[in-house]
Amino acid sequence: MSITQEQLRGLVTKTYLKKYDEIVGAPSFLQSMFVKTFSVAKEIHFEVRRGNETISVDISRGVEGTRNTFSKSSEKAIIPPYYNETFESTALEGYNRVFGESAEVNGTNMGNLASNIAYKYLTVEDKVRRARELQAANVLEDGILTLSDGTIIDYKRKANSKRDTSGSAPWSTAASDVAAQILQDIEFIRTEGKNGAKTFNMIASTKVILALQGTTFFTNKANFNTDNVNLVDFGFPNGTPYGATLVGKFVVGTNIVFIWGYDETYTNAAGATVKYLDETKYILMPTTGVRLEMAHGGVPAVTGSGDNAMPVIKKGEFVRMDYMDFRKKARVFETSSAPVAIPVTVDMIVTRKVLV
Amino acid sequence: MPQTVKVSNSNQIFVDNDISQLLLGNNRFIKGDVTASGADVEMVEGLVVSRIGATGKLKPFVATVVDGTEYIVGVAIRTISVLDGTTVSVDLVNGGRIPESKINFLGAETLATLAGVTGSQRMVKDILEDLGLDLLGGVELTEVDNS
Repeated sequence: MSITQEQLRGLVTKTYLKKYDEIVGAPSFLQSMFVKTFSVAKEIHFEVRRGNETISVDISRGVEGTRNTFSKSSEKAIIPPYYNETFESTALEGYNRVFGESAEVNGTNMGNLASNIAYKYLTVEDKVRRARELQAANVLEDGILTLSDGTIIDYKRKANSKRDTSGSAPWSTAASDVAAQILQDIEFIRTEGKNGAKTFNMIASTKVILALQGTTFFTNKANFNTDNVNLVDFGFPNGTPYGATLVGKFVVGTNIVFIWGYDETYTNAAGATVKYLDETKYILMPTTGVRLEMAHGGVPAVTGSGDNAMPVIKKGEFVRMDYMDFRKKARVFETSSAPVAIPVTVDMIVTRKVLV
Repeated sequence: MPQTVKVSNSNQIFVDNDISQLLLGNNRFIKGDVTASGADVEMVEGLVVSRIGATGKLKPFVATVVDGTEYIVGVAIRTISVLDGTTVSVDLVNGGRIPESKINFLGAETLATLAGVTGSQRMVKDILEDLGLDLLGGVELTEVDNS
């Protein structure tokens, strides 16, 4: 770093009135629907035994009863994506007054350094929270998580849970039969998802909601208001729905649909701004009975120091560590997390593309 | 326990399980040799098996063949691969309770297929019951997940 004019002028010639350190929080709406679980294992295993809706058939008295069996199930094992974010506090950093720090070494400045490290932890962990939000978005949108190396975790959502009517009856066309499309999705949730709920949450972008408001269905039939909406009844797991707004509700057939507006974005590795959810699609889920999990696998860590240091596996949403790098004269701080979004009730999620 | 791997890659594995049982009680068994000649023979659990009259060897039942395999003698109780050119001793169940849903055939035959000597053919289901097998129906109340 070259010597700047400002450094030459020294402290007596200038005063910082205020500092504004922008902290951009991660959206939590989609991931708030996923219940967090934690384990020390590298692999997350879960078993699913689906049921059916057979009814009892009457038989003649005296004959052998109808024999029932419970034989089938599926076992699934997933290795969660692993996130490890680091930053350094170097000895050389002491030479550089970086952001609002005084050159004087005292208790206040040491406190500032500690809070600065805490701030950096929160900032890098927000990157992981965004990755979790993206996982939740991918699961809800098409059921496929794509890792950075191109490999995938595919929850095998059925084709009829991912319909595309953007060509045949887009919502940008006023006469498109919106009710028929939504009822088709509700029918899927009822017959394939085996969920008899009559209230549903729809997650849609501004673009989709604006298109909906332009349809004949909306004009003539949808009761689009937020009156008498009781948030307690929504059935979402507790969480802060940062990133979404309850726009309203409408009736379709004998069902009530609540609409959540969601337009959140993130910056991808190439520096481009990308929406978490495809803004031409909506997602529909029943308000009750859906089971989504954000399962966290264990991450490698080291406990103790010096000769007592011991590699271990730890569980948690974030596992923090710091250690000295003597070659770089740096203290390295890192945080690890291994979350994976799992749609346990995979057939209770429907996505439909309604705009080109 | 039959397990079917449906998805397997570096990040996930999905396996379908089926713990249904073939032998449900009061069963009776016979043993016999299967010789694979010309190709491997898969003796799948639940496979309907016949005996070749001339050699006494066992063979999967095929309705259209008339080398003696029209005479059904039992049902295979375990899945065994008999490699070409080898002879393996296998166990068959020919009495007691077994579920009808576990019965299977080498080809397109069904329990309603006619078997036996032309002119006195009977349905496979009736032949199995005459052997002493009690074919039980049932309703499966579980299913595998998407995979």
